[in-house]
Amino acid sequence: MYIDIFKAIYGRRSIRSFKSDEVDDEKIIKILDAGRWAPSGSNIQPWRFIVVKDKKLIKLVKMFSPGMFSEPPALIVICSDKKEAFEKGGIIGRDYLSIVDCAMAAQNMMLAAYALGLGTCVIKSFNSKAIKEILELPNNIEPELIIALGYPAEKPITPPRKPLSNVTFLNKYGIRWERVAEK
Amino acid sequence: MQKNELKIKVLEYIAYLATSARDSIEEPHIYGSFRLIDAISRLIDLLKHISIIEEDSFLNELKNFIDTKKHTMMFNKKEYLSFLDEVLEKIIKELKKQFS
Repeated sequence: MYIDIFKAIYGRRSIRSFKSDEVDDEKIIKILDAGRWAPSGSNIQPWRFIVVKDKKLIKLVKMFSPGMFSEPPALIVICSDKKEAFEKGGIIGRDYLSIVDCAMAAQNMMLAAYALGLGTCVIKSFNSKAIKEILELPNNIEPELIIALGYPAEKPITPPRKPLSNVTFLNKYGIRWERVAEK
Repeated sequence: MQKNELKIKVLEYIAYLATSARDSIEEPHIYGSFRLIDAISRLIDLLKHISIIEEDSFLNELKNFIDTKKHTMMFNKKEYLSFLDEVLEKIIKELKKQFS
């Protein structure tokens, strides 16, 4: 069941085509729990996870999500509670940390899904107002990201990554770190 | 296909266009191009549902070509631009054929 964390980090890909097979609730719950254990600014944990398994709702969500290219068997809509984020974290909590926290939870979930043999694609290209209406979200709950979840029906190519040496500096910006020069 | 099912398909396409029109204002510029090219693929799908082009090999091939190549937008702009040019070339050739 458990795999090396680096295998998951290097192996995960954005999956945009899914098999129709349902995903077991146990696996979904394990994935959600991995999200729950992500770091959180001031430990506010502003995230709220909405698991969508109803096919009609998935179809509706997809209609207003141009970034979703197939209908996966499940979605995890990661929302933030802006009221709680503001009350406990102030403006930075509401406008910045709540989004960062949700992103960190999303990455935990996607790595966990990969470890369980599932594919994911994180989506931001959706209309927030439409998603709020469809999922009946209260005013203070904002959809931040949608994770499409299911068994992969494709094996995407490995996308290029900038060399580590292009994005890493030692001590001060602009100073190359020779140790990473060849990476 | 039932009238109501067809209406849902049409609404689905309209929802895609309306959402893209609204949200591309905040998205990367290149996404505008991507949504348009993806809209062609979705339009061909939609037309299949009303049985107009089910047997049209050009449109089927064009859709397959778009669906195979469109994601190059994510990681290879040069390849994506060349793909867009190829889409146009294919359409021009087909139209010339139709008008000859």
